[in-house]
Amino acid sequence: MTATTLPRGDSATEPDPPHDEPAGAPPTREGRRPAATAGRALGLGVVGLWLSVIVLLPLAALTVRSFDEGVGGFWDAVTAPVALAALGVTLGVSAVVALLNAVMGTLVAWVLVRDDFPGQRVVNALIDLPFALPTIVASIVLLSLYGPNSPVGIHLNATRWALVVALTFVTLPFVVRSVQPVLIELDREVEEAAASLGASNLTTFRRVVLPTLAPAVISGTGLAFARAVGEYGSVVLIGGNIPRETQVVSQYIQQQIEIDRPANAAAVSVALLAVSFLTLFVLRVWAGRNQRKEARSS
Amino acid sequence: MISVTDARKTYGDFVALDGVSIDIPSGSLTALLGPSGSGKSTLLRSIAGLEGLDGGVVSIAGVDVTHQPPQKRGIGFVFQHYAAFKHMTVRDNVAFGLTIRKRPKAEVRKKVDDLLEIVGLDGFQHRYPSQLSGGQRQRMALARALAVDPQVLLLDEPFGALDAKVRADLRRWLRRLHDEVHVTTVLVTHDQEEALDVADRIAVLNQGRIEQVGDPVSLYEKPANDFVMSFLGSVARLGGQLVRPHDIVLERDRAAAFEADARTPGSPGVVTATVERVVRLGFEVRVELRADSGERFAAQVTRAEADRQQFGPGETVHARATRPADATEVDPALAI
Amino acid sequence: MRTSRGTTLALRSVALVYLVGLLAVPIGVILWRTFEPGVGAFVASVQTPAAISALNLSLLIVAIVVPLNVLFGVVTAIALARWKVPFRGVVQAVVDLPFAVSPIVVGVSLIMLWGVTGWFGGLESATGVKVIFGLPGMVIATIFVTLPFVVREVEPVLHEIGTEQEQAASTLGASGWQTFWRITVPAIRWGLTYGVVLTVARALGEFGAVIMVSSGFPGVSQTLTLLVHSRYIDDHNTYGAYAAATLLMGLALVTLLGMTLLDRKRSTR
Repeated sequence: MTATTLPRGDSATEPDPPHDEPAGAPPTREGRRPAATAGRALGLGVVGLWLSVIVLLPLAALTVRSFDEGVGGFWDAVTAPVALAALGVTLGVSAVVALLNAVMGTLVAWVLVRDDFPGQRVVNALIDLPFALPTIVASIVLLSLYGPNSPVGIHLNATRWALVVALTFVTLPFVVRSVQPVLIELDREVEEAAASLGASNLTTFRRVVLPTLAPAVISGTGLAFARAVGEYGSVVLIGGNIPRETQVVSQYIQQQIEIDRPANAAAVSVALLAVSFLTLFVLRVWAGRNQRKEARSS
Repeated sequence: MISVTDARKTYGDFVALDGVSIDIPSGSLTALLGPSGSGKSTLLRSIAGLEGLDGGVVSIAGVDVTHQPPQKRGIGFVFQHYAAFKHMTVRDNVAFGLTIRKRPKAEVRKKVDDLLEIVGLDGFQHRYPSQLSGGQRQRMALARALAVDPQVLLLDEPFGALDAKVRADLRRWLRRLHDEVHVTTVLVTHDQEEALDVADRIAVLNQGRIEQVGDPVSLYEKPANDFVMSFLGSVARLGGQLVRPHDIVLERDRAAAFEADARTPGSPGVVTATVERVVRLGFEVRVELRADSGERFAAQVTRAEADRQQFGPGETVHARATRPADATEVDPALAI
Repeated sequence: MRTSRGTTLALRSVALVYLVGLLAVPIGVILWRTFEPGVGAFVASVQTPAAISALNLSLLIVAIVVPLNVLFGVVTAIALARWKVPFRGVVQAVVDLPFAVSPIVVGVSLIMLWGVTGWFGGLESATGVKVIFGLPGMVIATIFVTLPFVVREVEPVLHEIGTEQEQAASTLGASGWQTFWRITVPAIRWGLTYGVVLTVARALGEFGAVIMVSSGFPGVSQTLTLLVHSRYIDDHNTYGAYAAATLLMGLALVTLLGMTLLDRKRSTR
């Protein structure tokens, strides 16, 4: 598996495919066949209805219901001290996890591409495990090692470190899988050119390799951050759910539903959604700008 | 001077360099010529230190550099696909070697601007490599390699990725540049025309070995063996020997052909053949023939000669060689 | 760049220690904990009525979700790749949206729409069909989180193969359906299969969105993931939780193996 399970940050900014008929073009063969046109209209209707019922309507209901008690109610729900604390813990831990991923993910990708050792293929396949493993299993797996009965004597249960470990576990593939293909495609001659001009390995990496990898590292890191912010399953057992300490936003929302405060839950959900969307939006704009820069200059 | 002694390199079962020794004089422009897989690129890359040798010695200007990394060899290297630093401007690309040596900014700027002027890229300082044409990119790569004042300039198929017109322009330009800068230059190419055009010395490689080293004229006129002969220019097989198509004379008159042939010692003899096709290529005319033995070959004659004799398809002619190429004075043993 | 032997070994060690500490050791420990009391204990633990019912429910959800995703996913992919779609950019973004939404937020949103007090709450009082806290809710939640997979695997393949083959088929007299079944389907089959495998893996493993809309009664409305959770939290049956997790992990490993093999097939197609 490659980065196929990652959100495709660039798909919405994609230019229309070239075989798309330009507006005002003479009707094509299919265009003249009424049956085909009717079929397409039906197909489009079905797609629109499906996406609306499954994705759009629930999110619309969520957004509208979050303002059930007015803008003031929304604001009070989001700025309740415990909610703010949960938001703070979530963002702080996610930022640490994202940075850890940026460094270690790049390093792991480098070793997987440039190094050659027995068992490398197994290690490479192992990287995808966190994507294949159910999050609740991830939680209990980490609990068995770092939990109350830790066989190695490391007790992270109900600490922020537990959150870091759990979120690092589930976000591991993002940076590795976004950097790996770039590293494989990297023109080795460019590194040789730098060496022939007298650059040491460190200089070559810092000034020639890293600038090329940077977009992939940043996009992988951003995706990991967005995933970490909304994560629930992997922290539910090991995180401890202690308000103001280790409770993350998703746990806070779940708690609000349990104590029958749906409006609060909806309001904080909208805030959480906003954080995720903002992250992905910034990434997309930035990736689009990079792409345009490349397109303009080539 | 670059001196390579008994260089050996294998990749698994493949022998890339099979005991290669060559001396490259200071200030020369030497072409390493050979088909793909002949080891010419491996030889160049091992001079640069980009490839380690399994055995043998490389020395540059009398210093044994066999075990030195490329960073310390004082070389400039130009790659076939430019190896441009895509995220840097043209100026930063050319300045790279100087910047990492922490030279003063003003000096770097002046040197870079001077070099860009020499390679004809003045005014392109702030462009990115992707905004340049292939030829411009390669000139930028050359300026980048020259910026660090290398002792030797190594070019690996530098014009291979360019189209024919740009390629011809650039190699003339490289020749002029070399006459100005006089840096010892080694150029790898598989294109014999390019080697003959630009180099003052050519080393022909085949299967990891050097077949012959010499100046372009002597290589063309006195090739050491069939491989060198057929690799440098076109050949025709006449009476079992390799001859240049332009050394073939066609006569309608059988007696005249034999008489003239008798005056050429060591010639392959007269071959009677049927004209299959006459192709006019501007100044020259190619006559495609089939010998009575069934072997096909082509002769190249001047337009005047073709007009005089009026060859037409189906006609019988008598072919002889004015100069048997195999009978070289260098090595009479090779003359069959 | 050629790194020295020392640097290479140092980088390799750091990477391997990181991966072993983060992935291999925890998984080794849980396997050891599961099988330490013997295989019999494991088998007994995953054969309790609650466990069997959880496995059945998980598989039932997969069996409902996969065909729906294949059908609507392929139509969506064809629409995006081949047809003139109004607001294409918006549609693309909506397809990607589920990746960006926290599972808990998915659950809350579904409650807001389908719950008794939600927009569609009238449906439940009118027909008596329980969506939230019933099977339909769990199915819808699973569809939400798996919606992008098939589209995102099939659409690029459609772009890649282009329209030439389909046009060639139509010039040879094939009808629209014939072209679809004989040209398009064989071309997208590996991408589609890959999308289905991802869908199955995610459907089996989804936890956050499902727990929000399930009543969570053992033996009735618990999926495998909910079973792991409730055994650990409610029953304090740590061993049972390990055993159920190991079962899920086994399914995940089979998926991973399938993904690796399919990925090779896909790229050498």
